[in-house]
Amino acid sequence: MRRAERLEWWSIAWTISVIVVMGAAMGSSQTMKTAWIEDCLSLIPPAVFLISARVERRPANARFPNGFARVPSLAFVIAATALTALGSTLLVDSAMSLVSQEHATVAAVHIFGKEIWLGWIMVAAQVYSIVVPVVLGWLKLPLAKQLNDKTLFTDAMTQKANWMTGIAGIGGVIGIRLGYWWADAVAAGLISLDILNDGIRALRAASAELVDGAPRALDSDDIAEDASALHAVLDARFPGAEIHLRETGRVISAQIVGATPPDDTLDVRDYWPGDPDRAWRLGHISFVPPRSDRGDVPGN
Amino acid sequence: MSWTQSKRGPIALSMKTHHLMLLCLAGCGNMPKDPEGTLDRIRQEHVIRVGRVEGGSAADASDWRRVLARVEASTGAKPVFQPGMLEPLLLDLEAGKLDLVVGGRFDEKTPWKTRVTLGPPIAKAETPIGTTASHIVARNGENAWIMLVQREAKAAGKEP
Repeated sequence: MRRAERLEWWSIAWTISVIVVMGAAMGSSQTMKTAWIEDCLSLIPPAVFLISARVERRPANARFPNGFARVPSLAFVIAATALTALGSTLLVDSAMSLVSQEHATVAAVHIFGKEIWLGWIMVAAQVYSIVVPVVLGWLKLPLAKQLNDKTLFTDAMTQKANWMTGIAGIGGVIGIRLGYWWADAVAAGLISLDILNDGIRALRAASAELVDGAPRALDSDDIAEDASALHAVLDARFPGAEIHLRETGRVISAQIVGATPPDDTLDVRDYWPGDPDRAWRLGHISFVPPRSDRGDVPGN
Repeated sequence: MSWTQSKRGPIALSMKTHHLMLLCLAGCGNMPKDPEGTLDRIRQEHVIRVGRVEGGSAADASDWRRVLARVEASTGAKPVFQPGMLEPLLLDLEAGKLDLVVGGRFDEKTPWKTRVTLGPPIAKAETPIGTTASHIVARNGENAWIMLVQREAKAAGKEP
C-alpha cells in the first residue's frame, strides 16, 4: 500500500510536468487543448486514491463506528466518474470539431532564429505525454491487482486513456501536416469511444459496490473469481444458509443468513479458498441465526 | 478494449513505437500541406485573391503593401483586390472565396481570432478605449500559406 501511495505521488508530479509541457506547446490547436484538459483530469484518480488511503487508516469513532473501510469505494466512484466524463468530453469535442469542419491552424514558431513548424513541437510534447503514462500505467497495474484496488486500477486505465490520446494527437498533427484537417477529430473520436467504454464499465462496477452488490472483478462488471470461490466454500460449509457477499473497499464481507457460528471464535482465514497470502481479502464473516418467526428453525 | 499487462507488455510498446515511427515517417517534411490547396493554387494560377478593407489609414496601407510585395515576390503571383467592409470580407475569407484580407484593425480580444488566422500585428495603435492592431488575415488551417505570409510579414517588419 505504501508503494502504491509513493507511486501515486510520483504520478502526480509527472502528470504536472506533462501538463506544463503540453500547455507550452498547445498553441491554438483544439486537439492539443483537449489532450491538455485530459491530462489535467487525470490528476483526479491519484489524488482521490491518496486522500482515500489516508482517510481509510483513521480509527473508528462514535460518528463513524464502522470505521472508514468504505472510503476506497467512494474513491472508486469518483475515479470512474472522472474517466466517464473524460470519454464523454472527448467524444463531444471531436464530434463538434468534425461537424463544424474546424480547420486547425498550426503555423511556425521561431526557436534560436530558426523557423520550425509548431506541429513538430506538438508531436514532441505528445511523445513526452505518452511515455509518462505508459511507464506509470505499467507500474500501477500489478500493484492494483495485488491490492485489489479498483481506484488504482481505474487510475491505470486513465493512464491508458492518456497515452492513447497522445497517439491520436500525434496522428492528428501528422494528419494536419498531410493536409487532412479531419484526421485529428476522427482519431480523437475513436479513442474517446474506447475511454468512454472503460469509464462506463468502471462506473457500473462502482455502482454495484455502492448498493452492496456481489464483489466485481477489477477489470469488468463480472463477479470476481475469488468471490465466486469463497461463495462455493461457504455454501458447502453452511448448507441451507444464504450466503451474502459484498465488497467494502478492497475487502470482502460475508454474511451467512440462517446459520450460527460453528465455534465461539473463528479465524476468517480458515474460510479463504486459494492463496493464503490473499486471505486479507476476506474482512469478516457475520452470522444471522435462523429466525423462528420466519419458520427457519425446524419444529416451529 | 481492456488493458492488461499480460496482453500488452513490452511487445505492445515496441509495436506502438513502430506504428509511431511509421506515422512520423509518413508525415515528415518541412512544410505542412494546405487542406484546400491555397498555396499550390496561388503558385499555379499566379493570382492572390485579396480582400481590402475600405477606409483604412494610409500608414496601415503602406505597411500591408510592403508585406504583400514580399508575398508576391515569393509566390510569383499578383494580387486581385476585392474592396469591401471588414466583416463581409472575413466571411468571404472563411468561405474560401478570398486568400487574404488586408487593412483590417482588430482588438486583442476580437472573437474573429478563432474563426480566421490573424498574422503578426504589423502596426499597433493606442486609442482611448484600447489597443488595436493591423493584421493580415488568412483562412484557418491553410498552414503552408499562413506560414509563408507570416514569414514575409516578419521579414517586412525588419526592413529599414
